[in-house]
Amino acid sequence: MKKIALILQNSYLHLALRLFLGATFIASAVAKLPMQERFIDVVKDYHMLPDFLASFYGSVLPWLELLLGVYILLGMLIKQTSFTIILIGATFMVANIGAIAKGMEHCGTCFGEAFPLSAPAALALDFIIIIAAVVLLVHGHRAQRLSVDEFFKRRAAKVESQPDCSGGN
Amino acid sequence: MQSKGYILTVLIITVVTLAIGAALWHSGTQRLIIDKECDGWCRGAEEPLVIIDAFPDFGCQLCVNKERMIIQALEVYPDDVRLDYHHYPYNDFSYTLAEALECAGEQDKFWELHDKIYLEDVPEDMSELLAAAENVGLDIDLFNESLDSGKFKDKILAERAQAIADGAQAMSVYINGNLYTGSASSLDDFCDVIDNELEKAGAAGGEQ
Repeated sequence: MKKIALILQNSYLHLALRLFLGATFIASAVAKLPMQERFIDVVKDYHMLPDFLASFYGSVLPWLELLLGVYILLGMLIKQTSFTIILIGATFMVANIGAIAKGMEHCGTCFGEAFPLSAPAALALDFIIIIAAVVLLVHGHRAQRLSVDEFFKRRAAKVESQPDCSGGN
Repeated sequence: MQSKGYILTVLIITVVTLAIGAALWHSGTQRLIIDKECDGWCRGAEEPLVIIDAFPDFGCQLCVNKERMIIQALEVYPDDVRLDYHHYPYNDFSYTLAEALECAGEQDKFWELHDKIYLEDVPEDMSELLAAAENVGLDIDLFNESLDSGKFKDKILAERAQAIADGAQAMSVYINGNLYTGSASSLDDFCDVIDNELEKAGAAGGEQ
């Protein structure tokens, strides 16, 4: 157990998870944004949400995915971003379980034409996304390699540790 | 409390990301350049005012629903609407089904097999496909021979490549070149869009 806990605290693992989540979310957004109307259509046809909510979800999701992907990749607002990714991952899982239950073969809302994904593969990916985001949420307060958050943390610490010379001038 | 520098960095990255997103969004083709002459599998009016371009995939229930809706719409507007069917297979067996339609076309039964597949059950394996082919009265030996030869493979691939080059989105339907984004289960919605196009065509005809 201790070994697993140590692995989960490893900053290189966190970096790898950030790269994975960032790349996945950015790829997903890039696939959806040029065909957003079609994506809204797909969401509506899942018949899981009322039309106005499906339109809202379909309109907002690609933009949110792009922002979350960039944030997590650059290591910005890691805890908040991880939390939002968990919520979005949960909606993906519900959609994919619904798709499988309806006998649909493809995940129409994943990566579009760019990277066709079967519904079970999409469900497995959703699960991995949620696990990765949970690890980052739990350990997001620790030092993060190559991240904007860490850069500013260190800068603040450096400023605080410098002796205050203003009194001597 | 975050520093001003941090907040500014987050804001700048957010704005730049959204700008890139806007460029991506803008690059999307929602309109298809339509070919008024039928150069493939077409059905419906000979001098159509409205052309429906369909790029369905057999494995996609949404596409099956849309194809069913189009068939119904063709019955509502027999003199004004034409369907231009384009092969745009997505998974392995969809390629086989697309080839099967071409093989049926050799025996002048393209639309018979098309309707059998889309209006009833989409075959999931070869035995179901052969049963469907037999059901529409195809010569099974000829059909098998044609399918085994793989002679339509290149045609299907070329048609798919052309659809992508024309900016068509997979599993989509275009009405006079405009992407149909309405429901795939409401014929009324679909007919509203067709009526709108007919109105436009009527107005343009009246001005001439």
